[in-house]
Parts: sequence; structure tokens; C-alpha cells
Amino acid sequence: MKLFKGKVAKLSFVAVLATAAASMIYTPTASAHGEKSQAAFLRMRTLHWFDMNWSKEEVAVNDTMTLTGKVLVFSGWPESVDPPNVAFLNIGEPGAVFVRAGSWIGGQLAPRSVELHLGETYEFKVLLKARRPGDWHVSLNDERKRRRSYHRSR
Amino acid sequence: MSASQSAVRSRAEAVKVSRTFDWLICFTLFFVVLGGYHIHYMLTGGDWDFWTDWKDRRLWVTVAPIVSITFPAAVQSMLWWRYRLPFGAVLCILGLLLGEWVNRYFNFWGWTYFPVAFVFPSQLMPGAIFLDVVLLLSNSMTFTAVIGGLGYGLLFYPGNWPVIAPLHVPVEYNGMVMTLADLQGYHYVRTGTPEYIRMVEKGTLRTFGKDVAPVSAFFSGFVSILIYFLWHFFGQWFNSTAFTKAS
Repeated sequence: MKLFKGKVAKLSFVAVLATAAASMIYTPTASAHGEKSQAAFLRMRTLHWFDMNWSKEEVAVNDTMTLTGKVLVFSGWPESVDPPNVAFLNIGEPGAVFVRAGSWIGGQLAPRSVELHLGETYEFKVLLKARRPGDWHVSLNDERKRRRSYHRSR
Repeated sequence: MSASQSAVRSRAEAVKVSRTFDWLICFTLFFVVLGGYHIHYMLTGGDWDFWTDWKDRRLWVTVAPIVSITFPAAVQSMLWWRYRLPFGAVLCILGLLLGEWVNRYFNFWGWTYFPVAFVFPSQLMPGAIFLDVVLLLSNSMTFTAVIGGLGYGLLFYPGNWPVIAPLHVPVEYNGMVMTLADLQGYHYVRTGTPEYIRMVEKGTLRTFGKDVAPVSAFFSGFVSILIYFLWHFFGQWFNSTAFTKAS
């Protein structure tokens, strides 16, 4: 019993040390927002984002950058997903690090939800103003532009 | 010292130990109630309480009192039945507010940078004071459930109105009518759509004229009465001394 207790204590101590070391030594920046956790049909049969462009990689606080691109609404929309009658163009970012100064769909200001039609392609633009200094992952909804989407505000 | 011997040697020492134990219990209970109440409230009233642009005239007014009268009812039943202490509801709300402000400051602001002016919690104190005062003056749990519960629901909106009113002022944003709260939700990016108030205002509930909030508040007060009864008995159950040996 004594031996068992000693072993448990030793192993626990090693586990605590390993956990502390792992959390201190390797702390990578988050590089995705859980896109892959979504079911494949949700990611690949609903919206297709393309021609994505981030106007700047590095911006000063209070300066702006523009995110532009196009989105195709698949005509073969999955039955199990509600049709996009109420859709909102949103940004993925870790907290309110950029302020959304404006967003446009097809050249029209769109601060509210809009109806998207199946089979249509929409151009969009989002104006973002840097608010918090740091390295932030800013994206829309798609994992494919992940590598290009790091932004630094200083 | 064997197990049959007392740990204290005098009556004075016994009293001292007893008081120390009381403080330990009080301190622990406060945080147990705080934690339980806070988790319950976040799960049931979460977004309505988190964001200014979710503080609307229909569902926030209806939901917040119904889900927040729970712990006050249970703790009131314990403190009043066992100790004749008339501050169960206020104690609960103080605990909840402490937990909420810790959460809002360290998580919402410190971690994800939302301004506090966008994420402050609802005011629940007027209703809590009313519940405690009704119980103190009436000495009746039934009266407190009916009148106190109704008042708790009715007082919620007026208690919050001075804070919320400036944020419901209509503003023109590039030719569109929005509220200041809407704009906060639009500028400070979060997951989900930032136009809850506009979507929830469907133009119904106009039976008594243009005002929606009183209808919601009365309904909320009515359900609060029922929830008060239910949670009173939860409190009684936790309160039971059935398994404690009488000396």
C-alpha cells in the first residue's frame, strides 16, 4: 500500500511537471476557428468563398484594412440546412480586436441581414479598423485562406 | 487523544470553534450559491444578459425575471424558515452580480476586448429588495410568492430602463435607422448576427396599444410566481434536517 501510494505520488508529480512544461514551452497562436469541426456538407455544399484579398498584412491601431472577395451560394443547397433567407456577413476574429467600420454586399451597405439567393455569386467588402495591438487571425468562414489571414496591429 | 475525547477543553473554546465553523460555512455557502446561481443564469438567460443589443422589450423582459427568481426563492426559504433572516434575495443577487462582474471584466473585457459599456449585466436589485421587503413585512411565503413574484417581474424593466434607454435611441447610419445598441453590436464583432432587437420586434403583442414591455412584464411576473413556488420547495428540500440527529 505504501509503495503504491509512493508510486502514485511520484507519477502525479511528474504529470504536473509535464503539464506545466508543455503549457509554458509550446504555446502556438491559434490558426483556425474550428472550421474543420463542422460537418463536411456544411463547409463544402453551402458557400464557396473565392478571390479573397486582405488589403494589408500589418496595420497601425486606428488604421483600416479592407477584406474583399466573392461568395458563391451553391444551388445544390443541403436540405438539412435552412435556406439563407436571413444571412449576415460576419468576420471571424478572436474578440473585438478589429472594429467593423462597414460592410458591403454587391456595392450596397449591409449592416443588417440580407437574403441570399441560391446559385448567385455576391461580391463583398468589409472595412476593418484596428483596435487592439497584437497578432490576430482574421477570417470569414473558410479554412482555405487561413495562411494568408494573419494580421498584425501595432 | 482518542476519538471519544472532545477536541475542546472549555465552553469558551467550544463557542470559539463553533463561531469559526459558522464563518467557514457562511464563506463557503456564499460562493456555492454564487457559483450555482451564476452558471444557472448564464445558461438560461445568457445572451440577454451579456449584450446591450439583446436587451429588448419582449424576450429579455420576459426571460430574465423568470430565470433569475429561482435562487432567491430557494435561499429566502432557507434563511427565513431557519434563521428569520430577511435578506435571502438580496444576498443571492449580490453574489450573482459579483460573479457577473468578475466574468465581464476578466473575460469579456480582459480576454476578448468587448467594452464594458456593451456587456454590463442586467439590474436585478430592485426586484430583490422588493422580494425581501414583502417577506419581512408579510411573514408569509405564499404572499411573497404571489405579490413578491409579480412585483419582481414588473419591476425588472423600470429598474433597467434608465440604463438601457440611451442605447435604444434611434440613430441614422448611412441612411438606415438603427439603435445605438444595434450599432454597438455591429461595430464590436462577435459570432452571431448583431441585429437581435430588429429581428425580435415583429410588431405583435400590441393588444394594449403600442407598448410591448408591460405585456411582457406582466406575463413574466405571472410565471415568476409559479417559479417562486417551485424553487421555494427546492430550497426546503436542501434545507431539510430530516437526516440530522436531534440532541
